[in-house]
Amino acid sequence: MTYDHLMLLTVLVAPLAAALALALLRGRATRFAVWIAGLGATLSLAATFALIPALQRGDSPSLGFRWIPAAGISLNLHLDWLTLPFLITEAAVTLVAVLYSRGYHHADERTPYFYALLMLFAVGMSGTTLADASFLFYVFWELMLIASCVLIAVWGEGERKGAIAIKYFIFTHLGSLMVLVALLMLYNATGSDSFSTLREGVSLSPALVTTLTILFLIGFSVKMAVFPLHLWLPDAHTVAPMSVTIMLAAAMLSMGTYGILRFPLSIFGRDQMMPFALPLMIAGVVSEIYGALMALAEQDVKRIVAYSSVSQMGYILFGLGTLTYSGVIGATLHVIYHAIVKALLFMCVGLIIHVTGERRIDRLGGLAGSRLPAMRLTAICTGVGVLAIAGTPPLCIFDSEWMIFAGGFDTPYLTLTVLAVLGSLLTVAYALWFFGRIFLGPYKAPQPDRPLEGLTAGETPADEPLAALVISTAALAIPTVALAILALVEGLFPAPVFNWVAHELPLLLGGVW
Amino acid sequence: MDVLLVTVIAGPLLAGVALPAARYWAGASRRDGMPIVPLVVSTLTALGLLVLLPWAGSDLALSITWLPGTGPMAIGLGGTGLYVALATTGACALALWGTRALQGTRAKQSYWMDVLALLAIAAAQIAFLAEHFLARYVALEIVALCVALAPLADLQPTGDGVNGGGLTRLVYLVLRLGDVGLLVAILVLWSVVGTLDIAPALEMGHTLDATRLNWVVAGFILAVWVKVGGWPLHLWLQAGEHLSLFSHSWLFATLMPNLGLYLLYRVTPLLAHAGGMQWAVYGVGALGAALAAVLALATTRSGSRLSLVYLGAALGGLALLLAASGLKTAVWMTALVLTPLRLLFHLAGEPAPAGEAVPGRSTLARAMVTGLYALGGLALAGYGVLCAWWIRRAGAPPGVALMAEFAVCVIGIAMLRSASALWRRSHPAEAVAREVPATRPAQRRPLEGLPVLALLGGIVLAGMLFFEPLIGHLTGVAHSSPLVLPGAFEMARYLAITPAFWGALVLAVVGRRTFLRPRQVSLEPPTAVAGDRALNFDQGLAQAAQILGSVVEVGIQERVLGAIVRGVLNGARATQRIVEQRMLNDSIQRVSEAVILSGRLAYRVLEQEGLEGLLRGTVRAVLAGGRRMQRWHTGRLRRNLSWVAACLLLAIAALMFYGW
Repeated sequence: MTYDHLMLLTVLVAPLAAALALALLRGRATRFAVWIAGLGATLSLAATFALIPALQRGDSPSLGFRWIPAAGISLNLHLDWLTLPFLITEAAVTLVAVLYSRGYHHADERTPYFYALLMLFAVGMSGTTLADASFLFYVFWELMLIASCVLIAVWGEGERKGAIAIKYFIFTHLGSLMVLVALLMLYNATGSDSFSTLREGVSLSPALVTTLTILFLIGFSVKMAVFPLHLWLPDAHTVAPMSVTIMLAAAMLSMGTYGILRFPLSIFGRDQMMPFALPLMIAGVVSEIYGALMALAEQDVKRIVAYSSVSQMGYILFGLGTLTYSGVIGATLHVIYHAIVKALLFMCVGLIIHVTGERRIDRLGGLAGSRLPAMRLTAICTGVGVLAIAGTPPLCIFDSEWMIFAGGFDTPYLTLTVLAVLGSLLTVAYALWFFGRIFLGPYKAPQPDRPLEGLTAGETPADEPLAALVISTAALAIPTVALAILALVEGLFPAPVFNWVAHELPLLLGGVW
Repeated sequence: MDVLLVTVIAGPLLAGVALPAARYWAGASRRDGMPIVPLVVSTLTALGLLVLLPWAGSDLALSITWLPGTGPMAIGLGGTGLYVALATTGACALALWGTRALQGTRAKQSYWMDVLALLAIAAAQIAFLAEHFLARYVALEIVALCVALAPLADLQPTGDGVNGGGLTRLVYLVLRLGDVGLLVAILVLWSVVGTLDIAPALEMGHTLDATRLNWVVAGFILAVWVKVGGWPLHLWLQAGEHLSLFSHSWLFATLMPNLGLYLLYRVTPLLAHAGGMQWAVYGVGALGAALAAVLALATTRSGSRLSLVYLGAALGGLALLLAASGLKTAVWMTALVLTPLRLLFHLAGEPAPAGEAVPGRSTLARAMVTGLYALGGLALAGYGVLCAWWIRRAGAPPGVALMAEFAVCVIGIAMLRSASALWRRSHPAEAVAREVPATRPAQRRPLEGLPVLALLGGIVLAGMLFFEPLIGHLTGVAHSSPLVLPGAFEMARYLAITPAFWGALVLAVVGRRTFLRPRQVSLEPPTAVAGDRALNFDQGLAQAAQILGSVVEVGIQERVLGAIVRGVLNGARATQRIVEQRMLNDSIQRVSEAVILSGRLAYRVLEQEGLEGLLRGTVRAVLAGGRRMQRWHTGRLRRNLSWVAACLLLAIAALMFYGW
């Protein structure tokens, strides 16, 4: 086993081992569960970075075990340039979410299971991106769903968490079933479940190509939460505990994009995908505008940020639909930058809820000038977040939006692209509205309807002993500030990530650009 | 010189970034001295640009690569950009100096405003000097952000009064609308010509097909129209009315319009190829100029700042007409000419706050301030006439030229009325009577601001006296064919045969009593049926214009704006209600109900009646068969057992018989 193989295994095994350790230690691991999970996530992220030199040398680290020989099914893991951006995003978001949980999650005897499931969720996502065989891909794909669903059902907020967990499961599982049908059809047609074989080129009838592409696109669009397949997202994001919301919004949504890139765009050529360009672009613009309008209409701060994901996924789908160099690179960059910014925004929202106990935006106001702990810092971080999501240079999302729109203007659909650019004004509108309502204007003292976890009725988090509140707030603020800085640094120095992403292009649409 | 070029950009940037940190760490005594930092930095930056002037147009350039695939971004010493950068930065230094001198030490500027000013200076240098569309776009966005954040820095959040957050949102949204236009134009151009270097991209612009060229021109014009505050996109400029004198006079009224005018100067050559879009530009420019000029006239008594906002909009319209007529150099010169004039009008026209009514102001000081204001007005009117002459001479459609002349004529009247209003407004009794918003900064000290005003007046006067050599020098810098200046006879002839100027002359003669006879000025907005409507013609015209202004601005524009905002929000909510709750959720619910219903049906039909019935029947059959089998089997078994027993007994008996 070579160094690269070891690292490839570590990406998956480290969080898996952490999950197993937490499950075995149970109540005894309550106090240091976060550290075990953090170690697993850190090792996974470090191993991912350790694999970059191999890719830069031109290698594609792979590892395979025979699993069900009779059916030709094996456990194949493979890392290439298409996998890398997604893998880094997932591992980094997992680490950030675990660190954030330290300040947000109230520890109890079930805490080890919480972190164990977070780790399984991470394994599901990493495994999905590393899988080099359809069967394995689907196993990890469902593991991701099951782990997140249990997290929502058990640790979710509110009385409807069970119902929403079921809704989330059924909705996304329907998408998964479409993907499964497509995978089975592909396996049936090619006789192999190996992605390597598929990448080498397959010869399928046009009708089958169309059917497969439709199934893949709809299936993965459910995961992306593109309008009108997004209905699971606002509820799931609102009810899930904040660290799970961060992982759902910042990492799991990107799995849909990865699926579209890995399957229809990798397997089929440009000519075969061309008929789907315009529908994808239209769906992207509609989702972009619709999500932004919904974010303007919402009153719950978490739902506002959740609907912003619907809008942002619209940008990504639009970029993918252009089938151009700039559009596809921009869409992939947008996945990474959206993960950074969305995690940042949810963290800020978490801080606001943590300190004020209030979630309705009409009951918030003037927090930037309040004496509540960390609110000025939160205001600055949220300011960075909203400016980034609004595509303001030099923050990171500007770079990806520039590429996406440039891709749009490389197509014959000028009016549609102008509409997409104009739609970005709605993003600016909801971003400014969100920030202005919460942080500016006269201060409104928080008066939550119901106490948050760990507080008695009528008590707001601001009534907590100041030292405890400051300590817990600091634990939340540190990763938040780190992400705000990252959003700026990525915007100022986009070249390294851009170059990683650009390497994926030879793997897509037959490598012809 | 490379170092100096870097310094004029990096100096303000670093100062802006370091200022909050320095203020945090500095002691209280040192903190008091920090407001001087922006003044020093802007003055040094202006001096640095002045030193660089001899190298204007040289190949000296910095180059950095930022976003892969967009090519290296060059920041050079293009002559025209350098001159506008110098004028704008110098205006910043003068605005800071003038504001401090006029308002004294009591009017402390928020240090966040200092930070914004420094960052805006740095970004403006890049915007003026960059030869790359991406660099310019980014710089313009940063300037827009600084401008939008100014209300937050200037205004304290209060339950009542002006809401800084609301103004910030309004300003940024409107400015982003312009940037959307700019982005569309840049990206369409890039998609065809393949380069973001400004000069080659614009040179190849005429190779675009008609559709793409129209998008490009429309995008650029939208960006320009927003930045110069053209009507009705002047709303962001109007928001500056509530801010400090420095914010309004430089960030809002000088910096952003200059960026817009310089952008217009760069893209002017494209308009000639734009066909129908060129006519649209003519229309927008002419209507915008005429309407904004009338509104400027209408608001001369309502407040200096509001009138100046409309004046800026009218001048933006004139600049657009110059561009549509292909007078590229004139557009650039307009930015240079208007910079000191705007500043002079803002600083001289700033009213005294209520309750602090200039006890020490002498008649001489008032006369000097008013005189400088009138001098600026005269220069502006003269330049306006020249622009109108250029526009007519360049072959603009007669209707457009007439509108331009009308706008210039109304601008001239507005300036005269403003000067007159300024003279009366600075009278102690009227200053006390005047209602001034509480957010306006502190005390005006009449004589301390005079050196700044005198310096600005001197610049204006020098420009007027040496206009011809100045134009010659500037056209040389711009490497363009010299702009033709009319001789005295030709100008007189032009004025004589132009109906709009005759109208102006009539207005001036009929309305001269307005300027000569001191009288109590009603500061309330005049009603439509004022008793003294026959007093003089220009008063009537002003009242009519005010009514028009109140109808258009308040009655229509604000309602339309409000309706749009309400429409978007209500539309969003309605969409959410209809699409999310009714259509999608309802359809989901209906589907769910249908699924459940069909499930129940299936359960009843299949499970209870079909499967279960089958199962029950099977079970019954099995049971019956079992019983039958049991009966049969049991009976047989019993019989078998009897047989077995009998056989066993027989076998035992046989064995016993055999054995024995």
